[in-house]
This record gives sequence, structure tokens and C-alpha cells, in this order.
Amino acid sequence: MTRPPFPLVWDNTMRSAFVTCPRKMLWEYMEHFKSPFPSIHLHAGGAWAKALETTRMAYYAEEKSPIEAKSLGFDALITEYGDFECPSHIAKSLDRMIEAFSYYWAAFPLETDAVQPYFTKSGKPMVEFSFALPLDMERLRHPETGDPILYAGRADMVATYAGAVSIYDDKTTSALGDAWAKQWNRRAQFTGYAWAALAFDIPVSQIIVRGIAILKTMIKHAECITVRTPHNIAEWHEQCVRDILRAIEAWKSGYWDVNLSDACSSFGGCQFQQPCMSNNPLPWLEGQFVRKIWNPVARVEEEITSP
Amino acid sequence: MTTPKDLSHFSEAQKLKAQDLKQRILAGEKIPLSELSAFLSASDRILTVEKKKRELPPTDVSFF
Repeated sequence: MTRPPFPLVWDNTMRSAFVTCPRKMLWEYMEHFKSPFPSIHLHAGGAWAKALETTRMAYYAEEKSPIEAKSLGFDALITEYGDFECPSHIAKSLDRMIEAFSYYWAAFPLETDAVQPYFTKSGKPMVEFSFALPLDMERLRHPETGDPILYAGRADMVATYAGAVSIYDDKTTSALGDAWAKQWNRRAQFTGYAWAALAFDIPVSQIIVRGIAILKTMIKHAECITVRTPHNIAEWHEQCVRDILRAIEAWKSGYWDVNLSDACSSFGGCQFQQPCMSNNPLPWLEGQFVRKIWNPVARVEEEITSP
Repeated sequence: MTTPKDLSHFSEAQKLKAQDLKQRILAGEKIPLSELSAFLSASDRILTVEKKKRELPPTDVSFF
């Protein structure tokens, strides 16, 4: 049996793909078949994160004035977005992102923001928090090498708010409302960040999510706070270990379960629907997709150039 | 009743300036910080004034 290399480093996107549909995880993150069409939402979200990070680093670390810091963030937004062509039916064009950037800092002024970065012992603001840690040295080893499996992630900031140390994340969206706020209560992405922060002795107990809805006719914002108790974090850790152990079993047996339910059709339909329906998926995969490796530590996709 | 300015859209003048800055940055020009700051300060002032207007209780609303 030929098996693809098993990933040494996992992140929330990969675990989420596996629990949604193991076959999707196999094709997307082990055999590295990716859509040839870049996602506007990922691209715009990346440029947005870079702009806010640049602004905050300039203000909190380099002690620039608020307006100078925002100017550097503005430049970063445009440079990062580049000449990406936004589809006409999507509102996240560069022009709208520029307007949203200006709006964001009027809604959350740097000088008076109740959310402030948490500072390391060396005095560095934790704007951007990246990590790659062994998930479970005892139970979770790589099936080929025996090395500990790592879990990686990146939060926008570790912050303080009302005296509580918090994981902070900015989201761009197309709709804000009750459902938007509720979706973060059980979100594994944030529980994983809290787990990692605690591993570094950073006493995180809550998550702050700020959303900005960029629409053609308006821009809106919202903020939501959700807690992560020790119980939540222990539950996440156990679930994550169990999920990856199941992935190891699937990898060993060569059999990858399929969802055959809502995941096949939700959000416009799974991108792998066509090959998944075929008894010979490889020609579909090779014809419709390009091969790129997702690097969860660097958070970039790297094209596979060799055949 | 006065209608507050739509906070989510620049004025025509702001749009033109934003376009100019965007094109120059994309062309690789290093824009002086003072020029970017002037643009963002002007936008900030408009947004902050409009935000405060929205937060004030209305004084010219007819109840019926």
C-alpha cells in the first residue's frame, strides 16, 4: 500500500477538515490537492490581518503616534492586497477594504481601546502569537518517525481586557448578528490558542473576537467575549488527540471515511464533490486541482513543482 | 431629522485621494508618512464627528 506522508504538524484547519470528512482531509492536506482559484475571503482576510498587525506593532512596540501607526498599516493593507482581482459580486475589494480600515480605527481608537496587548516579561507586546507545541508526548507520536506530533496556530494578539488575559482575534465577515457571536463559544480554533497560551504560562481565560462586516452598502462592527474554562481546554485537548489518533488509524488502514451528509453540500458544496463521486478519482483530482502544501507553521501554501 | 453621513463610504474627494495613494503604493512608490497621515487624519475627523452625532440623542425628531 502506498501512503502519503503523515503530517508532523497539525493545526485547527486540518483537524476541522478531518472531523468534517476524513477523505477531504486526505485529499487536501495529505495529498495536497488545492483549488487553482485563490479564495478572495482568505486573501482579503490575510491583508486585513497584516494591516492591523502592522498598525498595532507600530503603536505598541515602536511607540509611533496613532496616526503614524495607522499610516503604516494603511500602506501594509494595500501592499499585501496587491493587484488581486476581487470578483464583482464580493464586497471585499481593495477600495472597500481601505474604507473599512479607516472605519475600524474610528470604531476602536488605538488611544482609548479597552483591549490592550499583553506584554511579555521582556516588555514586548504580544501582537501576533504563534506557536508549535507537542500535543501529547505520551499518546501522540508520528506513525513513521515516532516524533511527537505538533499542534501549531497563530492568534492576532494576546490581550488584556477588564483585567482578564484574553486571546484576541479579528474577523472579516459578510454578516454580523446573534449567530455570528454564538459561533465562537465552542470554536476549537480559539480553545487551541488558549491551550497554547497556558502552556507558555500565560493565564488566558477568555476570547475576544471583533468582527467587521464589509458590505457593498455599509460597514458594521461587533465584538464578542467568550470564556474558556479549564474544563473547555481539557475537553479540546482530549478531542484533538483522539481525532489525530483516528487519522493515524485511517492512514495505517488506507481507508478514509466519507461524510455523505451536509458537509458535501454546505457552503456552496465541497470542492471535491466531483472526484468523490467517481470510482476513479485521481484523473479528476489531477485535472481540476493544483498541488500545494499547506505549511501550518509559516501559514503559507507552497506549490509542489516536482512531478 | 438630520441624517448622519454614511460612515462606511468615503466622500468623492476622499475616494479620489484613496485611489491616488493606492495606485502609487501598488506601483512601488514609498509614500511619505506625512501624506498618508494627512489623508487618514481627514478621514478620522469626519468619522469621529459623525460617530459622535450618532451617539447624541436626536433633537429634531417629531413624535406622533
